[in-house]
Amino acid sequence: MDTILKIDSLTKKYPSLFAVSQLSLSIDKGSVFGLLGPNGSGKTTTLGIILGVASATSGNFSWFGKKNSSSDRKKIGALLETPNFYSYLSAKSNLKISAKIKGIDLKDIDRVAEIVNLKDRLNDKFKTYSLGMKQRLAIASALLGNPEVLVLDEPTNGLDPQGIAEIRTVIQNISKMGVTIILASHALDEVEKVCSHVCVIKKGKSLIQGSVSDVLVGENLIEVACSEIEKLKEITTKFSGFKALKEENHYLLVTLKDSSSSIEFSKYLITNNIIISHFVKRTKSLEEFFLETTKDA
Amino acid sequence: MLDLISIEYIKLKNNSSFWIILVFYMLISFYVVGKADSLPAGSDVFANPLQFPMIWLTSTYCASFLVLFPSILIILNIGNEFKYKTAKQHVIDGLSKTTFILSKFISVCLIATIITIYVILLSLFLGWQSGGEIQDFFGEQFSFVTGFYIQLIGVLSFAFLIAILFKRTGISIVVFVGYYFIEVILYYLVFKDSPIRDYLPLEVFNSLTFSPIKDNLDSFSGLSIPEFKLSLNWFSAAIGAIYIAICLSLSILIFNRRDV
Ligand SMILES: Nc1ncnc2c1ncn2[C@@H]1O[C@H](COP(=O)(O)OP(=O)(O)OP(=O)(O)O)[C@@H](O)[C@H]1O
Ligand SMILES: [Mg+2]
Repeated sequence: MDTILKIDSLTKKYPSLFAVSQLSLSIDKGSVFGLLGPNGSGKTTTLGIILGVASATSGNFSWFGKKNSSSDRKKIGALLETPNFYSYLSAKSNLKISAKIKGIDLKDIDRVAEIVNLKDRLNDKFKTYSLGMKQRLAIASALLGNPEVLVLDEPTNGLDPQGIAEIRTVIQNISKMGVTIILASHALDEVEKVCSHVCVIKKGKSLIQGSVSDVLVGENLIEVACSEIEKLKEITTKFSGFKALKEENHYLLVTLKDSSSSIEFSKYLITNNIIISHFVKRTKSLEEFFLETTKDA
Repeated sequence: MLDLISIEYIKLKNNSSFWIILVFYMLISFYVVGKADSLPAGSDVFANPLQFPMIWLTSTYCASFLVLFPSILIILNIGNEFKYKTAKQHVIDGLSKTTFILSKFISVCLIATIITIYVILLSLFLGWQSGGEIQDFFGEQFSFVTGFYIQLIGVLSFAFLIAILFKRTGISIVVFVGYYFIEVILYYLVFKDSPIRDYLPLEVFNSLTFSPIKDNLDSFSGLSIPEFKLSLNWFSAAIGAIYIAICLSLSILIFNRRDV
């Protein structure tokens, strides 16, 4: 598998803190890599360094497995933190400027505007755009010239639910074309929905990395409910594969040992005359994982 | 390269404050140059400062007096790149930091070129109006247009450096104007008896245009007026070019060393 980006013990120190600390990761071609962390965890700083706008205090990174050069960035479409455009220029002129820097045919402007639904508004000044439209324009600019890699820092920031869904679909479609995507986000469901790999960071340190399915299905969680909750609790704790239990609103959240399966558990409940009204195998939500892992790091 | 020029052109062309300041500068300099013949100390040797070839001195000298306007243009132009974070975006999009500075320097050259062409046209117009001899059009005095061009690029490069250094438009303008006062203090007080004072940057740039007024001619190099042919001091021009190179190199250095 080709490595698109390799980061090696990257550190960025600001006078008062380490924004990124000994971060290492490697991103394969074609993956959708999520950089997940709460506010201030160093996502933007990391992306800023790999995009050449900030210098690292120590550590290295390399794009496309070779020595870095600024022209590599012409093969990367990026949105970093905020849409950066001239407010007094039309959206079209702004895209023209980006296209010219990247050496892309100006015809591509209409295509990317179509993707983000801004075609009718291209001649309007950037300052007349709404927040969501500005964000879309930034995504359009990142898409110019079909880049090999897309770096998106909180791409759905400021979008309404429909806009969020549209942008996610755009990301998924682009990913199907083999484009590598690096996505920074603090929204867990976003990473869960669109990413294949994830690195969770807090205070600039990597807490865990791996494929989303590995990170997500770390544990065996089952939601179960019945009319007699107390009896259910009692029986459940006696199950051989039982590990932990938590009472949620209308059901019990049962954690099973890795070795035991949900089928065994349901059989066990039936043989113990529990009439189950609700039984759902839940992959561990990133959210729970996230709160757990970032709480005390 | 052509792409970079066209990018700067898009940014300037659509910027209304650029046009307002530029047109304002053009109108004022036209007015000031046109009024030059009514100055009491107008040279009696060269009769009329608006006739060829003296018009080249008059127009460049007057226009260079108003150099604050194009300097503010540059400071606004650079300040925009920081205000809109487009400096950052350009680097993200694939310009190296050095190329970014060079591309911005295109704006300096673009503005200086537009103004110089304007001053040439203005001089031709006024010179022709005051009935000068056609053969004197491009006499040696025309070299002051070159001097003016270097002076413009020089002062604008200095404004450029300040704008890169301070990022914020307001602060940059204050520092830029403040430096004029600093240099006056250096010139008249600190380096009063030292030859260094002739090598202060703004002094060097100022020496590239020259007042056509009689008093000045008398003191110029101690030559007596009748045998003296006024032309640009090419040594000063060379020093000016060095200052421009220093401003540009420092801008590149500063921008490269900093997170955008
Ligand atoms: N220029 C700077 N000077 C000093 N500290 C900075 C600077 N930029 C960022 N930081 C600090 O570095 C840390 C990481 O910031 P960063 O913007 O990378 O976080 P983030 O993960 O992108 O957060 P968010 O989700 O809020 O966008 C923060 O504590 C921030 O205050
Ligand atoms: Mg951020």
